[in-house]
Amino acid sequence: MQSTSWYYGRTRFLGGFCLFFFAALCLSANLVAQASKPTAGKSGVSKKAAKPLVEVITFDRLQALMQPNPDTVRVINFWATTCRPCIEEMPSFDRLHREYSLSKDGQKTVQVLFVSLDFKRDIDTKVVPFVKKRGIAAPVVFLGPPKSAEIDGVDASWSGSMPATLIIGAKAGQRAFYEKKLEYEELKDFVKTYLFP
Amino acid sequence: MKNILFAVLLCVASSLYAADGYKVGDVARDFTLKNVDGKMVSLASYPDAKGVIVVFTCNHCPYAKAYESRVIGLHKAFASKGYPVVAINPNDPAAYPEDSFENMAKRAKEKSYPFAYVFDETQDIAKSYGATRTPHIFLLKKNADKYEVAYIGAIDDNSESADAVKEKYVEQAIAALVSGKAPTVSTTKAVGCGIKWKK
Repeated sequence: MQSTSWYYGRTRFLGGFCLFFFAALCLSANLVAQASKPTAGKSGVSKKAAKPLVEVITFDRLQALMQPNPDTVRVINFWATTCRPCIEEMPSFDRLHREYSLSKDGQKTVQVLFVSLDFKRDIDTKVVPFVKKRGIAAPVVFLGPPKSAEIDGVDASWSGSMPATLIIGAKAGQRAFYEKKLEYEELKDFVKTYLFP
Repeated sequence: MKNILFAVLLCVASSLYAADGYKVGDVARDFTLKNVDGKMVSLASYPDAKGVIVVFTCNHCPYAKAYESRVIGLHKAFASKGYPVVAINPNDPAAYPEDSFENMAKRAKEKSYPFAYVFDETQDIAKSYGATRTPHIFLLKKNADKYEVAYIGAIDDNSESADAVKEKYVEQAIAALVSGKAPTVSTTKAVGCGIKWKK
């Protein structure tokens, strides 16, 4: 995990001219990191890197994230910064995340995950700036363009076009896949079927 | 009750999204579409061909752009062996003005496309073939005066980098056809931009 964990926010602090300023800047970087990511260790000192804004994952990791979880409904959205309908539907998914990601009265939650299929060369130049600029609340991971067998591994019916969304309920077999743009009400209805079966 | 409703919904949804269009072995229909040079192009325009590499592609899509030079390469390598490329843009230019006929002509000129780049304005051909994304390849094999679908899918296994390709699916499929065999891998998938259907 550590090898793929990158922290993007600190590169801007590389401009210090003397040791004092450099130290001060590092400290402020740590403060920023700790403020935004409370669980992060002391970045720069500890070997544990802060959680990156966009974590690069393998397909094996994605498969683990696609497993049913008894406490949650998983909503996995496949997108790219270059896909306009994907960008248009993202606020709906983010809204779902804000409204249902925290458990109320022991009710099941909804965990939204955005999976970027952009090219690898665009992670730093397009994907991370996009996620920052839009202030996306739900977690975003980077997979890159999947191989043929991996597309089948997500869903046999997926032809490979975007946007595409996989919804996995808490119980085995609760699974739906949509190779189209979803509107908020539609998305909420699909999710509710699994939240309150 | 909700379960039943959902099951019905799922059935409706899956029937809507079930892969209509061609499967390997089907006979592909011919078409008559306007090429960027203003002339009409059909499969019948290639009387000496042994097959045709039909590529649904477009101007705007980054995955299509990433494959542009590889599509040119396919035509250069295989047109003389009887397998020319015919590129078809099925997108509604209302969604992406970059995919208009004028811009297709511009792009073809800039990149000196050696193949026909035609516009599927009604989107009927993309629908008949079952194309869903750009790029999406249908390799056709000529059998008497009919064109049979021999391979559907991706050009190779790495859209981002031609240098990192391990499996050249289309080339392998053509090699199989040339030696009188059926392609070992006849269907693959790749991510691409969804075809922009007319509203």
